[in-house]
Amino acid sequence: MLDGEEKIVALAIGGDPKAFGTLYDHYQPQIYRFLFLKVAGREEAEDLTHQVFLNAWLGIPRYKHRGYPFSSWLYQIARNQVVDHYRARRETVSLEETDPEAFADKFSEGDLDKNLEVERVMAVIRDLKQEYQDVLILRFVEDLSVKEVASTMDKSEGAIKLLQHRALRVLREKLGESHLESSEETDDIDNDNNE
Amino acid sequence: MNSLEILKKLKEIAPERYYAERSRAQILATEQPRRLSPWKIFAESMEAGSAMVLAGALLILILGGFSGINVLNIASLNPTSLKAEADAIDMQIQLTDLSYQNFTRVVASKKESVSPLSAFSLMALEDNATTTTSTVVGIDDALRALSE
Repeated sequence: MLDGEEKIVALAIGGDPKAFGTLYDHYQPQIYRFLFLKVAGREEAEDLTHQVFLNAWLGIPRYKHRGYPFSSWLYQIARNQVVDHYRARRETVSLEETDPEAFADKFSEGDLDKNLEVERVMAVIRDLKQEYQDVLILRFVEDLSVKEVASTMDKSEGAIKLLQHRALRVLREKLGESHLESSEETDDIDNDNNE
Repeated sequence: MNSLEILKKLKEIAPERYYAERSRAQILATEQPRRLSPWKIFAESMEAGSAMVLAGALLILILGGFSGINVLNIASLNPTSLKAEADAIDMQIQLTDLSYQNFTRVVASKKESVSPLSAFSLMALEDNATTTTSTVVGIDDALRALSE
């Protein structure tokens, strides 16, 4: 969460572009990442991220602070944007459609195996149900707490824990990892968050 | 590397800097829709109402001005005066007819009293009488006299 976020959000609600710019700078990378992992390529992720922040800028006068981070609201817009995006396209994203170059430059050539592994995980994530995708990205990529994910996905904390467990199990099944490892690690993460 | 480690690694994904700057500038250049509070709605409706009232008043003034000009110009179109004038014209025509009939009667009586030998003088009398009648009973003259 951004330092002094409530004050910045209040200024942005009043139409202050500088305040909204601060929010944009802070949250844009994570919204982009969230969208990139859910859609096929970089350009689509860029377009959707732009649309999310444009909608946020136009809709911020109606924003009501309910004690959750501002990011929860942005993620909600992003999730709706993805639903609209797929509804408009009505296509299934194949593995070939993914944009490996977008992630390739993050690793050196020596990490080729690692790179391939990452691409495989990304492709599997995109094959999962929307809810599983959301919970995996928000919990394990963005490190949001169960409470924050619950507010973002408009579900109870218990439901998020259950979703997280199922999502990890399905991810590991698809990747060919063992279930035992999965449940142990999930328990560790839950404990970390509760602390 | 297990799946959770890979998921953590995905945090390195970041947008291009140029894209981020361009998108930011475009978004912030977009004008926000105006917020309508109840007070603003009231003020705007009052503004629209007063504008309509002013426009109406202006229209009335313009039309009133025109009708004032018309009243000055065509005051004679007053139905009462028109009726009176029309009655007067009818009467005049009747009078004209009357005088024409009287004249013909006079001519006829004169014809009877004058001997056939003085036909020439009778024709001269008719010519003279016709000229007199036309000057006395002309409608235009009657109207002009009435208007004076």
